Amino acid sequence: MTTVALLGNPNTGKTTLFNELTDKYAYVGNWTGVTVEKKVGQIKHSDTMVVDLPGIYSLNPITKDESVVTNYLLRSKPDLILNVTNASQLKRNLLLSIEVLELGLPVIITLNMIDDLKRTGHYYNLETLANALGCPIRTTNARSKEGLEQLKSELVKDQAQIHENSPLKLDYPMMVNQAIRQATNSLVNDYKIEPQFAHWLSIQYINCNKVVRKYAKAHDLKPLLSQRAYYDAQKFEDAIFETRLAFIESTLTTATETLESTKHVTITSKIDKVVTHPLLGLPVFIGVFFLMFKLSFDWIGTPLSNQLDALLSGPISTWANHFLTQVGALPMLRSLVVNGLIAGVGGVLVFMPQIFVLFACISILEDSGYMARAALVTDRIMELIGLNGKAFIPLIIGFGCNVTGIMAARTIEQPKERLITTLISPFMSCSARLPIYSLFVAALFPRHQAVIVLSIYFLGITVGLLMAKFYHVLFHVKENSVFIV
Amino acid sequence: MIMKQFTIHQFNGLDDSTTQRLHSLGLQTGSVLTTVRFYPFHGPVIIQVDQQRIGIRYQVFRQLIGG
Ligand SMILES: Nc1nc2c(ncn2[C@@H]2O[C@H](COP(=O)(O)OP(=O)(O)OP(=O)(O)O)[C@@H](O)[C@H]2O)c(=O)[nH]1
Ligand SMILES: [Mg+2]
Repeated sequence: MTTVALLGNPNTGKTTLFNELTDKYAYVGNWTGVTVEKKVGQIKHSDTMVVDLPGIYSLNPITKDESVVTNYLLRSKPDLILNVTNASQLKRNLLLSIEVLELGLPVIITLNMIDDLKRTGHYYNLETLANALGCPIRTTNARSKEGLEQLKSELVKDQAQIHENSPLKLDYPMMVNQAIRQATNSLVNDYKIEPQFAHWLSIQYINCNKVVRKYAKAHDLKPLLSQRAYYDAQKFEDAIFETRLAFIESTLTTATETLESTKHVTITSKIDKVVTHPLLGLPVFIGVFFLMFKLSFDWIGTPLSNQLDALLSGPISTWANHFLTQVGALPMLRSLVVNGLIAGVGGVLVFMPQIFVLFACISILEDSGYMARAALVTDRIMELIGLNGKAFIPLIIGFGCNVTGIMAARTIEQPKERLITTLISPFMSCSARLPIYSLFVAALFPRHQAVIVLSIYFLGITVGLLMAKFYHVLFHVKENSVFIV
Repeated sequence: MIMKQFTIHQFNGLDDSTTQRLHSLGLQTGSVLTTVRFYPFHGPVIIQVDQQRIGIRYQVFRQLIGG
């Protein structure tokens, strides 16, 4: 049994790859932090297990779900790490790759979303990259399945066949190198830790990795613990960061090639300009939602529902009635089927079109990357109630279903903000409540259904926001929130 | 559209998590950033660094460019 771990920055397509490679299906969405815990699946017709991990920017975690990855690396040893990167943002993606390569486990780096890179008019010389980083480099487009077969064949290998790579050794400043070497030596000699792992532990410890520091404390690794003050006073963390960035910059400069550029970029960036416009952004946001409700209620959902209703209460029940009378069923049974089953199940069934359309709209929004932009547009308002634009995404997903919405709240860095977001999430009207709304609206306001439902939704939002402010005061939230999209 | 170039002067005064996150996005002292958009009422600022667009809060932006 071989284990392959998928690891990389958020929103680089790990889960998309995972779904293509394995027999399992996990949730994909176009914003940061979709995957919040690890998922395991098996590559078809093989005994290779694939582990999908949450996206991280570095092994030093800021949020809870990010620490899942570091803990995973500390505790289990995958046979192969597939580092999924966004090809057009290699500079920051490689910062993580370096940390992984230093671990010395076999790594394959795949430049995913290679279609996006080609559109920018740049390309990388893969051989140059592979030589500099000391591991195989592949390119994939997980959406159109380009390059997946080749990648799959490389993952489906016995442990013995997997090509070892020696850990990446960067040229850190002399003082740092010396500190790493000393710590590694005593870890190897006094604690019988494997040299490569000890080397990585030392670097991560010096680099202020919170999880590794906790690990060192738990295992009482004195060579590291005793030097902590010295490492921090010397600002080794900054030195390590600068060395890594300089290495990446020089590597990428030598590896960059230029293609003739295409025009595609301009279309998306034009749309981008409108939806993130400082003044238009908010109206556009409300407009998008209005459109969504119009679609679900006035244009598609309700007419379909009505037809379904007409079909059920008209032909189908008369037909069932006739049929049952003809076969001579008991009147009680007939009444059970016609008035109970058909009318009852039908009563719920007629709302299916509405729920379906709403769900479809939300998933289109999710996949288009609009969510991250909505977070930006709404941050200023959210800040007023002491939250973060990022809290907006969970709340919006909450419209589909509160449960997934609450799950999505995990990307929020501050624990208290996360708690507040979770608490106000249920105020967002989830789609299961839609039948009830529709029922009321249809009964009380037959004329302007979409407008009324929209206002119910906004009422929910307003109450939710007020509650957020209230909780905010209640919990004495002081920390500033990290807001970077 | 206010496309203006700034250089990052310092990370001092930002909390550790913010600094760390900005670092892991590849920003460092001396990086050149272009402002793409300012939101009204000192709302977020969109900056562009190496072809990636990042939204940061106005206060963070002021700190970075050293004002
Ligand atoms: N253009 C393009 N888009 C892709 C490619 N691979 C994935 N995507 C899209 O990128 C988005 C993110 O995909 P996910 O698989 O959820 O990303 P992830 O790495 O699992 O994200 P987290 O779980 O948040 O870390 C989705 O909208 C995908 O459709 C690709 O090769 N090219
Ligand atoms: Mg994922």
